[in-house]
Amino acid sequence: MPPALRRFAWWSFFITEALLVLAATAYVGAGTRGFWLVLASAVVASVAYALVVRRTREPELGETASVPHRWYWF
Amino acid sequence: MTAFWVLIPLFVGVLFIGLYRNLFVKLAVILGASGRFLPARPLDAAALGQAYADEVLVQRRIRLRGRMPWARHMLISWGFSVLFLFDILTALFTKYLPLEAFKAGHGGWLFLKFGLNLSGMALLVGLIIALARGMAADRDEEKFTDRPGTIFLLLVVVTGFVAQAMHFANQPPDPSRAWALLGHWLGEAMRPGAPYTGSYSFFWMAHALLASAFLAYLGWSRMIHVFATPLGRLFYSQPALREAKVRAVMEGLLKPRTEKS
Repeated sequence: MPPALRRFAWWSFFITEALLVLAATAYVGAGTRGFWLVLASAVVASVAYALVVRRTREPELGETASVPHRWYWF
Repeated sequence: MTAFWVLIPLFVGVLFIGLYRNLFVKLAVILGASGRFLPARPLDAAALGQAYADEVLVQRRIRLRGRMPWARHMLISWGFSVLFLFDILTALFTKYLPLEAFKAGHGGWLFLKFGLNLSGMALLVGLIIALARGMAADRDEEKFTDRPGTIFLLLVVVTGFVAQAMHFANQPPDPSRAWALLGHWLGEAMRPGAPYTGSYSFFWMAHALLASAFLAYLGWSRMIHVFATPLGRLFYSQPALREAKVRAVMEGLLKPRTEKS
């Protein structure tokens, strides 16, 4: 994967999650039980995303799995 | 409400996981050969602008399939996009940066309600047409339909309108709320059954949870085309990327065949 695309995949995820935690904090209040639950939810999502990124094998050009042959891909 | 905010980071995480598995790694295959994500230097801005106008703004390619599929898709995509924008503006001006003009009943608030309801109505009409057309679609048209996605989004929209109508029906009549269009009309029609307490909470929570779950669903279904198709069209408008892809395919074909162990 091109490094710039990899960086985009990581940063877009973490920035979105951070913004969501900030937005949620404005509603539930910092340091409350709700806040810790929101934070835990973001952490679970981050761990799951990191695992998927680490474990997803990148197909090579020519492999069937690499072909975006359905209209809804490209 | 707390449950909603707790679930949102998880749902968005599921969306990103879907995007990574179903979009990013495929993009990597296509773009990997060029060695960079976006070809900044040889960027053809005119071609990019033209592709954006044709593929995203007026969706010319869908117009070639007929007037009705185009109208349906325009109503859904523009309805969804504008609704999303008004949702963000509503959260911003009524919750995070509360301004006097955006307090309930004031001009700004009515403007937000008008935008939300008008875009929601466009989306609703598009989805109803999509559902009706999907049921009568022939085999050629069938491959372009997404019934589960349509029904899912329809549930999001309907629960949103019902929750809003119940909220309005619970309040004293106010002619200025006519700017809320369908929400107002539905609210007035439901007024004899008011007050709605438990049912209002139920519909509001159902709407919030369905809307959030729909975000997660985007990355794992045909709805991924919301991201993939415009991106693909914009990339392919760039001669540098097209050439890089052709070169990579040719190099792949010319590579000596190796046995896999």
